[in-house]
Amino acid sequence: MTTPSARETAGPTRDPGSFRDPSGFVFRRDGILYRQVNRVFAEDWQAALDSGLLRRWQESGRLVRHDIVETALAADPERALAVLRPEPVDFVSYPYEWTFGQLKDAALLTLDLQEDAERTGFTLRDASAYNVQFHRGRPILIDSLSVERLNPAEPWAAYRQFCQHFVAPLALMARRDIRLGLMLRDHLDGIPLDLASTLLPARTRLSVGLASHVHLHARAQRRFARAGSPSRGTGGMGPTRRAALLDSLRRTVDGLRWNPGVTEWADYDRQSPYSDESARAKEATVEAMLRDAGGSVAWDLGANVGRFSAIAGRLGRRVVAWDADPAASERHYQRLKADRTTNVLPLVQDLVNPSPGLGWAGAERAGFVDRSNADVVLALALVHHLAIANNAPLEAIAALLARLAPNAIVEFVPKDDPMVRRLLGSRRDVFADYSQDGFERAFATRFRIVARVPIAGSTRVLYRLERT
Amino acid sequence: MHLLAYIDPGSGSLAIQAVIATAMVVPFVLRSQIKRGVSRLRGHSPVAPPATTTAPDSTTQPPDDVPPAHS
Repeated sequence: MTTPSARETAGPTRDPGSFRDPSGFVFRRDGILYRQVNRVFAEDWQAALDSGLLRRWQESGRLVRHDIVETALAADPERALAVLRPEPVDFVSYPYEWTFGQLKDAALLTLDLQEDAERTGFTLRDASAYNVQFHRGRPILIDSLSVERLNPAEPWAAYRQFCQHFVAPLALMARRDIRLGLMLRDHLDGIPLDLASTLLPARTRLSVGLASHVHLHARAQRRFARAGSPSRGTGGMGPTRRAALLDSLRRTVDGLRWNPGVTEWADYDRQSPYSDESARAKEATVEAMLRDAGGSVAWDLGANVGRFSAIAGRLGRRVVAWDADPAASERHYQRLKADRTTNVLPLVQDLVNPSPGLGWAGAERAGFVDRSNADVVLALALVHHLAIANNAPLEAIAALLARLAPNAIVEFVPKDDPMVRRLLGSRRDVFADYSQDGFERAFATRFRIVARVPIAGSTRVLYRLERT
Repeated sequence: MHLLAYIDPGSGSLAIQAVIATAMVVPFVLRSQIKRGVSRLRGHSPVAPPATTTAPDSTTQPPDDVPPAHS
């Protein structure tokens, strides 16, 4: 997040995803991330500081820490009240890349903060899932300007956003199909409630929470839309009603569960094609190669439930562990959470169709490749899937890895391997170049081979590669 | 021009929120009472009233903690 570029040293650049909120925005100066607080937000900002609420959240690890720095650093001095320098988060990820459990934990964090804010006389202005990031293994609010003073008689302004960003996608994933989480890619302000209501199974109308917060909510939106503009802030909330609403949202979110035990890949680790001997040999070689490659950030592509991410994690690397299977990633996340591992972040990503740049001008949410901060990328037992199951040329695979990191650790699985034979069993073998020689030739277009180590007890080979 | 472009789904959300919250008050208060009763039976000191049950360090009580007269 803090990599300076020559262009940025010229002056401040506003974050392309931070333009909607009039109370402030995020920008970079000399590669460092800042948040400007605008004068229009002065009273709420001062009240939030005086209340100790933000400090309390920071101390409990629920709000990103920030230093208040000189206002002279402001990117828009005329509007500036203050400038903050937030601690950069480990890696910026998006809700459409989170596992079910991650989205649920982000929802529960948002509710915790809203409850705590209300007790202190404040309220969250937004309940956007994009205001939450995963930092050191936990969800954390990154928008320090999210709170304003509470008028207890008014409804929660972010209620609709909470339902769209959290309740609707979680319900669709848990009650219809886990893959519907990807709908968040198309709907950056959360899933429209009428759409969620249409897609959810009819039996969800029997759940008090989903009936209220999705189905009835969607109907009310339609009805009021037809009736024209009603009086805003129908009011009549008060502390008990507000508490009851939050309690109901919490029970609804809590009640949404998904068991990741039923997809092909989440089980892969147990029925691995390796003998114990080759599994140990592979682990030892990967560890040695990771040590040699150095660096502080490793990306593990096709991480599954994270066996090799864990090795990089134990070496002190910050790891982003990508997998296309939401069940494998979910199991990985739950295990890391139970172990309190804080330097490995599992995320869902289909490398065959990775997250593009999205939102306004295609730049509000950065694409997968553009976010790479990796020093080394791991591609273990992956290349044959991309090359054979997806027909990607080996050179194109080399080019992708070279864009992601200066170092790569890649496993080549030849055609006589039982897993590749299985892949070829169901398709015509049109992969004439898929051989160890072909692999080395293709990767030589982008990389230098530093080490080549056969895995004992198999025909597979591990490569350590350096970008040329 | 498509009419949908002028519709603000926020209005319905604000209105229905008050309705849902009101409907949730009775079960919410009942559950809180039961929880309080159970913890008292177990010999714990009575916990704070509903809106502050989980406040670890709350110093500011909401001004009107009983269900407000509805407008």
